[in-house]
Amino acid sequence: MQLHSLSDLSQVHLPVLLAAAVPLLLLLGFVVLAAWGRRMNGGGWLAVGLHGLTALMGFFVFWTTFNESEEFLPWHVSFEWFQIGGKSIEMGIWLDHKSGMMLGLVTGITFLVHVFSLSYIAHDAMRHRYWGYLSLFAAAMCGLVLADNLLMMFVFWELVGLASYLLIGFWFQEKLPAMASQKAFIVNRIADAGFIMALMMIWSKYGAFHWGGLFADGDTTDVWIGICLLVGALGKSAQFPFQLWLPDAMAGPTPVSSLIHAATMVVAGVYLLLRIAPSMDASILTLMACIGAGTALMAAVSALTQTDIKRVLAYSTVSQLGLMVMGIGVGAANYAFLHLIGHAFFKCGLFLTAGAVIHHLHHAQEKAHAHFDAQDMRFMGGLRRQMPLVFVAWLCFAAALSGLPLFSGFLSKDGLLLGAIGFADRIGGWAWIVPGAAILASFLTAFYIARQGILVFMGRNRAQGAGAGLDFLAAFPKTDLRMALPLVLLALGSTWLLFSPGNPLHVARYAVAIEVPWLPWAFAGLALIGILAAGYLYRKGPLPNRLNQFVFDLSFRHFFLDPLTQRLIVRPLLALSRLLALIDHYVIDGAVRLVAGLILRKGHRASLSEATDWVDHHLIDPVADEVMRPREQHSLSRATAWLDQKLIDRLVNGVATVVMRAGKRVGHLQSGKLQLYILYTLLGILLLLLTLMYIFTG
Amino acid sequence: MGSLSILLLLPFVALLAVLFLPSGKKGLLRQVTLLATLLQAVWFFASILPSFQNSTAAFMDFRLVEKLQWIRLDLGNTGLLNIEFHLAMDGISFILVMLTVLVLPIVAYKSFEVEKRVKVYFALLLLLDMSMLGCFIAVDFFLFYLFYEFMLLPMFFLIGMWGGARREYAAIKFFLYTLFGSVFVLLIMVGLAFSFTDPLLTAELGRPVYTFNMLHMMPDMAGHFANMVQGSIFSTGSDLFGMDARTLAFFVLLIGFAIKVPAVPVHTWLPDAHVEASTPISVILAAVLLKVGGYGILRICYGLFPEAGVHYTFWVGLMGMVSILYGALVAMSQKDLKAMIAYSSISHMGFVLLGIASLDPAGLDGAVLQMFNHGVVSAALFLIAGVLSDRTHDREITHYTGLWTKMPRYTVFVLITFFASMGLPGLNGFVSEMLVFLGSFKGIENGLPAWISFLSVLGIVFAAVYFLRTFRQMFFGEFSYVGTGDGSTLTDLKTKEIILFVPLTALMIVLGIFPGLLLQFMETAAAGYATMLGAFH
Amino acid sequence: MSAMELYLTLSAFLFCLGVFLVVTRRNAVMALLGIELILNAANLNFVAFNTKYAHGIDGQMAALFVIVLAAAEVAVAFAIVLNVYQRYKTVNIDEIDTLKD
Repeated sequence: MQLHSLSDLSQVHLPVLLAAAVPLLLLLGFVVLAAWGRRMNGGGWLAVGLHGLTALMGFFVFWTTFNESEEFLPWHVSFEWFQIGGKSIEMGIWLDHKSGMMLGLVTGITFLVHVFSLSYIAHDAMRHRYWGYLSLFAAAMCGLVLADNLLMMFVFWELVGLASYLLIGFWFQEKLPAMASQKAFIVNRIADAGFIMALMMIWSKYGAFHWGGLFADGDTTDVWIGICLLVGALGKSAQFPFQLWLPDAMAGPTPVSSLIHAATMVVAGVYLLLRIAPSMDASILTLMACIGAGTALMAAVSALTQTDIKRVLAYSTVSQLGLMVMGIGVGAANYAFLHLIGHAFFKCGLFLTAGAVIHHLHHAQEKAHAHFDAQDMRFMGGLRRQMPLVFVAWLCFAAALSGLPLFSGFLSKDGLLLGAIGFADRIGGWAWIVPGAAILASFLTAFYIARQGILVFMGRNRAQGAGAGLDFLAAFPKTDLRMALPLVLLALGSTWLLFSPGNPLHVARYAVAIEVPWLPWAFAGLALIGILAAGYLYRKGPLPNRLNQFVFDLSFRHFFLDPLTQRLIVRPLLALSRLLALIDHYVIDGAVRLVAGLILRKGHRASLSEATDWVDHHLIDPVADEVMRPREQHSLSRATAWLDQKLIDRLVNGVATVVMRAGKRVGHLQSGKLQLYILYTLLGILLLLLTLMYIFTG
Repeated sequence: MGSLSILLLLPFVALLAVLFLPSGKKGLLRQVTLLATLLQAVWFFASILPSFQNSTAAFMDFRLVEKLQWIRLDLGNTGLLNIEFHLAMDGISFILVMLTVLVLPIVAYKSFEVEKRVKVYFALLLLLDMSMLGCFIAVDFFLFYLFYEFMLLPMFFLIGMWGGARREYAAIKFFLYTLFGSVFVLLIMVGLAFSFTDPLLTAELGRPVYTFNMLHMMPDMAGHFANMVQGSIFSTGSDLFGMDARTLAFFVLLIGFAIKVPAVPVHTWLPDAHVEASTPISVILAAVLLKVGGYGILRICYGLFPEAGVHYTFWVGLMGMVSILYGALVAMSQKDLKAMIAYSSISHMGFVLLGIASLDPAGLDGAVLQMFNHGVVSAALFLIAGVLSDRTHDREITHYTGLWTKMPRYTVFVLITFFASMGLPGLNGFVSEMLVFLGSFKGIENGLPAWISFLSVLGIVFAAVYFLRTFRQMFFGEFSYVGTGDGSTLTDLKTKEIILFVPLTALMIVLGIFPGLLLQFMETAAAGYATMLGAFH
Repeated sequence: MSAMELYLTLSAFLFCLGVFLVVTRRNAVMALLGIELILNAANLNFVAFNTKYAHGIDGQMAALFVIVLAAAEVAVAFAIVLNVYQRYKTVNIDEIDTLKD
């Protein structure tokens, strides 16, 4: 339906109106918080209230779309944004099962993170900015999921990038967040260049960007369009080769990591791929599967050795996103979407538990005057006694992530792995690498998350080894209700209840390519083995590094991708930039100056003044010298000397005196003053003219 | 007297007023200038805007036409040469005039801080104002050239007398460069005048009446030159120095205007001029003066020599792409904030060339919109650099860190402006750059290869690199200042400065969200232009 | 007065103005401005006399030639002024009197 005027709004479906109101309300919230947040004591409660409201609206929209049969969807409303060459470029709302669910998810999780942040960010002087940025993010994210066309999606795609930039750099006074925010934005920009190229090709081919017009009719689109869109999605979802920015992005506040860099923004790429997958060429899908599985494995390997509690989770996020991308590639798109939703709950939860741990440690440190890195797991341990509730919630999230039965991960991950096996079965040969990598990645997932749990919650506390006093553990604060509530809700969301309430072990609604009844249990067993192995290996706390340093670094420094990009891309680019600046100055501008310098600049090698100097010195002076040479050598004979002296001298002297006297008079004329000369010239000409006139006219 | 001549007359009257006021009354001189520029803006929106509203201006739909016979030379047997005082406005010049009248009050207000030779300064500023407006609304080539040359003189003195340490050098460089460019334009103009006749006057007087009227020099929608004199210098198919005369003319004009844009490789006057000019002059230079180059390429190069333009559009596109990438790359390693902004200007004006070269409605729209948007954004960028110059006389990027904590309000404006310049959606730069991209890829049909448009996309990546690096360096981190002094002069924006920034940032946001506000005025004009150019494929 | 006389009067006026500037101004730039005026006075004469000369546009061409020449001349002149400034640290013509012996 196309809107032409405001009065048309009355014919629009209520859920669509509500869905459209969500981003607008949030944007309004951003403006209010940005302008007056500081005076409202940060405006935290306003933000929480606003997001509570939008969460309700989001849930309503989700519920109505969810209960609507697929054939009556999508509900679509659009209006003209602007016109170009007779074609209109539109903005609109596209509500179907996917976008409805995403809207509910985004608004819901944002609300929970807001509640959590109330206590997390309570003492930060700049918290009004925090609330404002979060609202901006939420508005952009809702716009992104509701977009009815690719261009509009790109608009919000960039805006979530802006919000992410601002939030990663929230503590901009420190070096790390400052660098990380810049890196995140630029890496995303590179991928966005791919997105833009796709938009260019789509515009030239279809003359529109509509979901309905482009991707609904089922025929496959151009391979290059597919590749460019894939590049865009890979950037936002931190997939190979763009995954570098996500681990660094952990420099932002932890609730931000949980909301943006785990639950919502980073899945935008997956969401885009889900949207376009039906019309993608088979080769693109295969590429997707390979990149996804590869990234999943790489990131899982890197998560094994991290010591920073958040970096483990960051790599885990990259790995899980990889599984989703692979899932779309192998044709298990439904499971990928299921995993996206499930992952949003448990990964958000994991980050919030990490946030709670860091927050509590900071408080305890402050009270006990201890100083050590509050994110380093090597200084944790035994925290289950200090924060039992957080620990229990963590167990739920970890179980979901590992894919244990009764938790959401079990439902979705099995679908993904089965889909991958089916894919390999279909293609055969090398394609078995895809499920192999995915299964290995999910085994490693269970291992690293168990390692994290053991290092953080189990065993004895190791803070004393880092110089904390005995009173340190006693200084732990109680878990705030504002922190506990979101954790509990998210923990509930990580069980099977939300996803398949009827059957905790199987999602009845979706079909996979291959059904092997015992395989899911085998995967769960594998995860269990991973957990037990971690439990055995880390029973005495962190391991000393017994591996070869190179192998260890391969994992710890993520296959040296960072230094590699530094050497291969960043430094050459900057070097090229400096080189071009030099060329600009010395060659291009130099050529101009050389030409101009002939007349312009003194001191220049080829300057005109020096050229005249040279001519003066080498040509004119010698000639002049020759002409003016003293006459003594050519003197006349002595005979004439007398005459000379007696007569001519007198005569000459007499003349000379006259001339000199006259010369002195006239000499005043030669004052060196240019303007006088001009005047003389003019007077001379005038005299001449008058004479001529007198002669000719008689 | 029509609306357009009143628009020109306003700065002229103010100029006379300024000249006759005693030079000691600095306050009065400033107020007169500001008032004139404000009146000019009011006049534009009150009197000119209505005739463009509610009806889309098609191709060659020139409105508010004012035509007076001015100079008529009897050339004996050859015929007559007719020069007219001919003003008119179509959708494209409308946008650029709007930009001029919006930016000038800001420039005038910023110029309040000038203390040296105030009278001369404002007189020159008003003269510049009048000639820039004249450039955009003159339809007679002779008149256009007159205004075009008139811009040179005040700008020369404004840079050379009120600039920085190397101002004379920069001013002379600017002068020579642009003079070099305009001599080219002059040559072609004279030749053109003897290649086209005015059909009505010719019929009326019974002798050939040669004309400078650009409308008579343009083809109609079908690509037919009705008024061309067969066998003249620039008639179709005639030769000059062994080349096709019209192709030669196209390229000569292109060089002339490319210097003004400026496009790589004839750009090196710009960084010097910007670095040495004072803040308001930088603003006017970047925001309006450069646009005359883009306008000239669109209106004159492509308008009068469409067949050459269409045939050689690859070279224009290539020049655009090179400017985009080269400007951005060189901007990356600049240490002086103003030099960085100057090179970013080169990069962003490259989009204008690329958009024009696409010959596609979207690309042409994008190019004109990009001119407007770049005008707004670059004005803000140079004001941003000016804020630092005013406080410390130091524009070295690496001398500053952590300004965000010290100058939060300033940072907000910087953030918006930088992101607008980077092409972030929701701000104005995005729409025009996106349109240029969309059009340029569509330009494949018109002989613009795909790699040109693909490589140009990298320009926005590089833009992110240099802007974000600068932003991180200057605004992130703990506050410190390593230039002379302890940085205690670095105070946040005063109300006076905020007044300058608010309209510009408001424009960035409003036009980012509602680009249709501007596009409606020129959209059909650009589409018609594309159709006309399409007739030459 | 006929049109021709008007032209010539204007031309003469311009010429005198130019000469006045050239001779009286101390600033070299102003003197240059005067020279421009003189040139334009000549231009005016060229164009004016051409009207008497029914077949051809020689006068106009000469005038155009002068314009182009003037443009070049200004460029060179400014360059010289700049050089002078660099050497003498002034553009005051009165102070540059090294032409005297």
